[in-house]
Amino acid sequence: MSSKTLPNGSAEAPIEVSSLPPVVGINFGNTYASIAVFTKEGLAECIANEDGERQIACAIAFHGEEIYIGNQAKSQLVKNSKNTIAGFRNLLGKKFSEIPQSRSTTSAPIIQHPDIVDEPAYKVEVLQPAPSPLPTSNVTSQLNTPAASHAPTPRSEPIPAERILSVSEVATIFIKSLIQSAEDFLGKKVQGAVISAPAWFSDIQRAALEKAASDAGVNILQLLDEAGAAAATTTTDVWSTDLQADRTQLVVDLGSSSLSLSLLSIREGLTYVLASSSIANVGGDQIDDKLIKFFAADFTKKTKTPLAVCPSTDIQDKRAEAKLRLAIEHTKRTISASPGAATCSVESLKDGLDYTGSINRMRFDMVASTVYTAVADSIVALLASAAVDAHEVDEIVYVGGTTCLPGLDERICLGAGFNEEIETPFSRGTVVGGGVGDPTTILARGCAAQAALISSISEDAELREAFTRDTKANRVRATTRTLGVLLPDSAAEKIDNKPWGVWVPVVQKETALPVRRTVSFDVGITEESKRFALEVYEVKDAIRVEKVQAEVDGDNEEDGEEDEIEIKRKTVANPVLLGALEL
Amino acid sequence: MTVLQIVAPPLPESYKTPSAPSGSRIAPPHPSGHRTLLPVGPAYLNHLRLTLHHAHSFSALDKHLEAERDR
Ligand SMILES: Nc1ncnc2c1ncn2[C@@H]1O[C@H](COP(=O)(O)OP(=O)(O)OP(=O)(O)O)[C@@H](O)[C@H]1O
Ligand SMILES: [Mg+2]
Repeated sequence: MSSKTLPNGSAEAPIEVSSLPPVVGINFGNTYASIAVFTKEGLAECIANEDGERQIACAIAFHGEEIYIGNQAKSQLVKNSKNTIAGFRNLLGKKFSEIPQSRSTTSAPIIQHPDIVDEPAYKVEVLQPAPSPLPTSNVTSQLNTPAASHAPTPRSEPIPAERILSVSEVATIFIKSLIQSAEDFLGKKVQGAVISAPAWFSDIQRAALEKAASDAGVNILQLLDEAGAAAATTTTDVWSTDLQADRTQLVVDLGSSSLSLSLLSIREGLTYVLASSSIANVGGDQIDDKLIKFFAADFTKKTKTPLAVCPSTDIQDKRAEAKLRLAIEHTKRTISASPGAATCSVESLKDGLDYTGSINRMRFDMVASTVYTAVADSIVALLASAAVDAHEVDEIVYVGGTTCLPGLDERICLGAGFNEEIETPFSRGTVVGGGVGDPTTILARGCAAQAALISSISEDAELREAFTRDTKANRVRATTRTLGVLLPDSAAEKIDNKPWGVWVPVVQKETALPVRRTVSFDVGITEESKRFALEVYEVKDAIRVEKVQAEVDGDNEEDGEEDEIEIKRKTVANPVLLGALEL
Repeated sequence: MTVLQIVAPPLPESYKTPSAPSGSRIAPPHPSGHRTLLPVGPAYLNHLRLTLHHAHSFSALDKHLEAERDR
């Protein structure tokens, strides 16, 4: 999505809009935001803003009398960086003294607000319209009649001025523009919104986000943790028809500047977090730095012009780096979308020299390798801290722009010890082309689903309130072992010296109480044995490691070594018999 | 409701239904508060109805949901 390829288009026509309540889901990231509404089919879909963007850069730029918002603002980071504000979401609710002063200085500087104690603010230069010279003429001009017969007064030049904006004011301007896009699409006023917030946001930050949104005139139905927003999408029917209703899901959220991992227990749609972690400074930004270096080196090789980037000190180099940073957004998206090579083109990169280079997937994955490894390592660490074997994870869900990269999925599936058949949106082929598994749309769609759910509640306010504040009903007791039935088989392998059989888990461990489960199956009865018996057990889920002979190919046969590989299988241990019956 | 495709193995002549040892009971759940539900989805809404409005009675919740549907 390079800035110059997107002229001011119009948002898609509001033809397929449902009669559902006009509510909106907003994924408010630190780098990109997205908006989702309900379509006539009753599906939550991400919509484009008036510039045709579905991933809307969280940036605001002031240029003379104009205000740019979104990707247009982001491209101002090259020539008008000191009047461009980005990365403001993470600063919501922070005091000035809490913000490290070493932060990047390319965009508008963060200053102490002149009027409010310990309040961070941005200072930008704007042009203010000159005061109207003839106030009386306003009346006639609105009626679109010719001005009075005296000579026209030349409009005075706008006056340069300084504008101070608090972080909260910036967020309000931005959120307002998102809501405006939704209203343009829906053709009606938005009556409620669910907005995502990172799990690590403090209560003060949540309150600040809520205030910024309500200052924008938004009725907030819920501030939803990002993991919750992901769960809201992945527990809907459209997500997949093949997945078990009871499953352990790992949500991997990799954005620009951070990695968040959440291990979820999903039990017929009821969900809680088993373990989570968030790691700063792992994300797309690191990949960007490496990629910029790669293309800068290529530029130097091709043009013999030195270019020192990441970090750059020289003013020319700084500008070249900013140009490359914008251009590689397109490169990364191409790498994600198709298996071929991706290009990077910048007009007048340095000394008036244009640059075009390309990178293939294999090379790209090498460039991004340290980030992939950091993600895989963090997953291993999270599972270890939760004492959950990788084979107990049934599904991986990807959230955040950087998880669109197929090389990352490959590295995670292989490098973190998961079962080969692990379900991912890549294995189901739903990532590319805006499919239901598209990581950049999951949070906004989940928020939209929540907004519709909450606004559909017809009972008293108590139920609605449970969605906005912590309630006792959320703190559940949950099972620690799995309850199920055994269809005994005398020929089956033994567990605890007892022949086991066909094991049917009914209430899985980590299921919130109270619980009700109904399982149905047909039983065929043979002439010889007209009997049928059920034994009810509670068991500990376990993983059995089997050593099997690896398939030996030509080369290995000669050195005579027998390759053994370990295969892990789900099994049970310590069964406790609770009852039995024969029918 | 989960519908399974499974085949029950035949029982041998000699099979006798075992009886559970007198002391066997289900393991205690995690203590209350150890797990916190994410406030998302229709399943959560029904959990709220169950706990806040229907005193943990699934049959009372069923009746309520049926009445809602008929409206
Ligand atoms: N299709 C894609 N392929 C690869 N990378 C992508 C793709 N789309 C977006 N990105 C990258 O993803 C990152 C943005 O991800 P996301 O929108 O999830 O971030 P965020 O949540 O706003 O930011 P943060 O992690 O800083 O809070 C950027 O680095 C962007 O270049
Ligand atoms: Mg994010």
